[in-house]
Amino acid sequence: MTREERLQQALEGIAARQIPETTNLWPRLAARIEERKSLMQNLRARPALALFILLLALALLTGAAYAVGKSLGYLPGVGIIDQSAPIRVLAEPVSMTREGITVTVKQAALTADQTVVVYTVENVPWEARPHTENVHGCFATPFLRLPDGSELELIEGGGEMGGARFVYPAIPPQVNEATFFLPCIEETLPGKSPVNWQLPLHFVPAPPDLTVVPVIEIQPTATAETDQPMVVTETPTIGATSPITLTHAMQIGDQYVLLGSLTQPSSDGWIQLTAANQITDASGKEIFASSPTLAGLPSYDWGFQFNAAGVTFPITLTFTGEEVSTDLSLAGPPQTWTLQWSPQNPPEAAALYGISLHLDRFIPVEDGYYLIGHTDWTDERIAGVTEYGTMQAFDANGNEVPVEKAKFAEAVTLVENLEANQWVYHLRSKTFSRPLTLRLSLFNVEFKQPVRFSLDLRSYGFTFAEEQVGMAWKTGLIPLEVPGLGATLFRVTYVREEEKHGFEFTLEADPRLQSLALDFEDGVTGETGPRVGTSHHDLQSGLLLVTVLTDGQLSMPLSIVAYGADVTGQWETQWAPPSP
Amino acid sequence: MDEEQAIQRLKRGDIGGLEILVHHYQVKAVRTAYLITRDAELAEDVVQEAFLKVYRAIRTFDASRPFEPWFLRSVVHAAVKAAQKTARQTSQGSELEELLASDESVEAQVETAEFQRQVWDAMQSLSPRQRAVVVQRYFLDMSEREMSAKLEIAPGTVKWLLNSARTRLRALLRKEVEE
Repeated sequence: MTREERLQQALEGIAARQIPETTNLWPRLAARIEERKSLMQNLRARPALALFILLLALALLTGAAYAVGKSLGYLPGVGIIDQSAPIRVLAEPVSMTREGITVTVKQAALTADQTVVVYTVENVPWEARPHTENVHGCFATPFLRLPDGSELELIEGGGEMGGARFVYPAIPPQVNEATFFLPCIEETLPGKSPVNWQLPLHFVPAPPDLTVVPVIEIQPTATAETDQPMVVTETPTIGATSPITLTHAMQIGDQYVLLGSLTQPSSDGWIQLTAANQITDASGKEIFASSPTLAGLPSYDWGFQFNAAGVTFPITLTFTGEEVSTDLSLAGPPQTWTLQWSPQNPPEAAALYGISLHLDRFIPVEDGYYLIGHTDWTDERIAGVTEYGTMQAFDANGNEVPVEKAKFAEAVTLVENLEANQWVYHLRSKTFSRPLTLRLSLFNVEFKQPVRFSLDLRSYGFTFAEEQVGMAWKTGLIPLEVPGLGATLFRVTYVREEEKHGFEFTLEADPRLQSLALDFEDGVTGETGPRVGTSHHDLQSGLLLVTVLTDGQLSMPLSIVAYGADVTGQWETQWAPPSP
Repeated sequence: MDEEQAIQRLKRGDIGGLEILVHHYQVKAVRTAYLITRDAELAEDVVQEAFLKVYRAIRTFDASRPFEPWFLRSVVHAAVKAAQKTARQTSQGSELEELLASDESVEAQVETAEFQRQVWDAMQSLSPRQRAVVVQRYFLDMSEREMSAKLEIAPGTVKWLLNSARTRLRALLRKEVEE
C-alpha cells in the first residue's frame, strides 16, 4: 500500500469513527424548514392575534407581501409586490460589459418590505464555462451595497445561468442609490471571466402607467385542522388523516394559484407524492394546471396555477402518494387524498383579449338552423381574431346539441364578403331546451406588433455542426412579449429532418397559449423549399414546444419572429330561438 | 426515486425531494466537513446550512448535472470558512478506544490507530485551506482539475496547495515516526 493510499484510508477511518453511518440531520433540518409553517400554525391557533401579524410574518419570511388593507399586485418579471405604499423602480436598466460579457440589471422594484432585483448575463464565452462532468464554475450570490456602506444580503431568489431574480431586504425610502455587487459570473471557470462586477443603480418613483396585475388573496390560510379561515369563509374539505393542506389561494389576473403543504408523518419515513396530481371541476372536466410560474410566491410543498375561465367550482384536487421509509423502501400501499375547494365568489374571469361572440342572425332550415355571427375583441394589441371551427352548443340542461361549421362554399352563399372574424355554423336540431349556449374554445390571434427575439449561440461554441444535432442549449430565461400571455424561452435544440434543419424552442408558457408560430426572420440564405414548423402545448410537461425548419443556410445571430398565436379558452354567447 | 427526480421534486417546492438528498449525502458531507473543521458538531452545522442553501437555491441548479460535486463544493467552502472562523479544538482521545473495540488484530489496530492519530495530528497543523485540498484529493478522491474548479482557484494554486500540504504532512508524519 502506498503512503497516499494509507493516507486515504486513515482519513476515511478518522471520519468514519467520528461521524457514524447513522448520522441523521433530517429531523433538525426539517424542523428548521418547518419553522415558517409552524409560525403560521401558531398564529392560526390564536385567532385573537391580529391578522396583520400573520401576514407581516408571511411577508417577512417569504418576500411576498400579504396583509389586510394592502393592495397586492403582480409586476411581470418581478413578482408579487405590495402597492399600498409608494413603489420605486429602477430609473433605467443598467448594463456593464467587460471582456465581451454583459451584465444587465433589467428591473428592480422597491416596496416597503423588500427589494427585488432582476438581472441577466449575456455573451459568456464557451471556454469560460466548465464542459466536463463534475467540473463546476463559480457560485456566489450577488448583494446590494447602500451609499452608507451597509450591505443587503440575499433573502431568496435564483434563476438560470443567464440571469436571475433576487430578493433583498427593503431599502430605506430616502435612499435612492445602491450598488449591485456580483462577485463572479455564475458557472464560469476561475480566471475565465471578470469578477467583482459593480453596477450603480438609481431608483425613482414608479411611473403611474406601470403595468401591475391586481392580486386578490382569496384565502390566505385555511386548513382542515383550524376550520377558522381568517379572511374569507371558504374552507377546503379534507380527509381527517390527509397530509395535504391548502395554505394559500390567490387570484392573479384571470389565474388562480393554489399553494399547500404536505405534512409528514411523525414516524420514520416520509410521504412521497407519486402519481401526477389531477384537478377536476364540478362538471367533471379535467383542468389543465401547471406548476406556479409566478415569481415571488410564498414557499409551498405543492402548488398549481390554472386559468379560471370556464371552470365550474368546486374543484377537486386528487393526490396520490406513498409512505417511504428512511431506507428508501416503500412502507405502505399507495394512498389517494382529495381536497375540494371553491372561492367564495368565483369572479368572472376577464375574457382573453376581450374576445366575445356575437350571433348576428339565424336561418331556419329543415333540420335546424344556420347560425351566422362574428367575433369581436377589445385588446388593441391584437390585429385580428379567427376562430377554428370548434363551436359546441349546449341546451339549457347542459346537453350537447350537434353543430358543425358550414362549408366555405355554403357560407359564402349566406354571407356576402365573408370577413375573417365572421363565422357560419349549421345547428342540426330544432328541438332543444332554450336558451342555447354557443361556445368556442380555440382562436388564432394576429399581433399588431410581432413578437421578436434574437438567438445567438456562438458564445456556446455552436456552429451548426452535424454532431450538434439533437443537442439542447440553455438560453437563460428570455421572456417573449406575447400580448397578455406569459411565455419564456429557456431552451433551444438544434434539430434536423431529412434535408431541413432548424430549432426546437422550448418555452414555459401560459397554458392558454396553445401554439406560437415562430419563424426565422433573418439569418437564412439559399432557401429553395418552404419552411415547416410545428407548435403545441405539451399537456404532460406543460411546456410549449415550437419547431421551425428550413432547407437554407442558417447563421447566427438569428432573428426569430411570431406574428400570431393560437389561444385556448371558453368564449360563450347565449341564444334563445323561437320555439319551432 | 433517483437523484434527478428528487431534484425535480425539490425544484417544484416538494420538500420530500430534499429529504431524499439529505439521506443520500449527509454522511459523506458531514465526514468531509469534519475532516476540515475537526469538530463533529460544527461539521453537522456546516452541512445543515449547506442543505438549507440547497433548499433555497435549488432553482439555480442545473438538474442535468450531477448533484454531488455541486453540493460537496459548497460543503467544502463552508467548512473552510467555519474552520477559519473558529479556534475550537477537539479531542480524539476516544478514537483509540473505539479502534481497540473493532475486529482487527490488536497489532493491526494499534498500527492503524497510531497512523490515524499521526495523520490527524498532522492535519491539525495545516491551514483550513490546505486541509480542504487534502480532503478533496484523498477523501473525496477528486482530481486536481476538479479541485481547481471547485475551490475557484487556478490549477497551479491547487497544485501548490496540495504539494505544500503533502510535503508538510510527510514531514510531520516522518517526524512522528522518528520520535
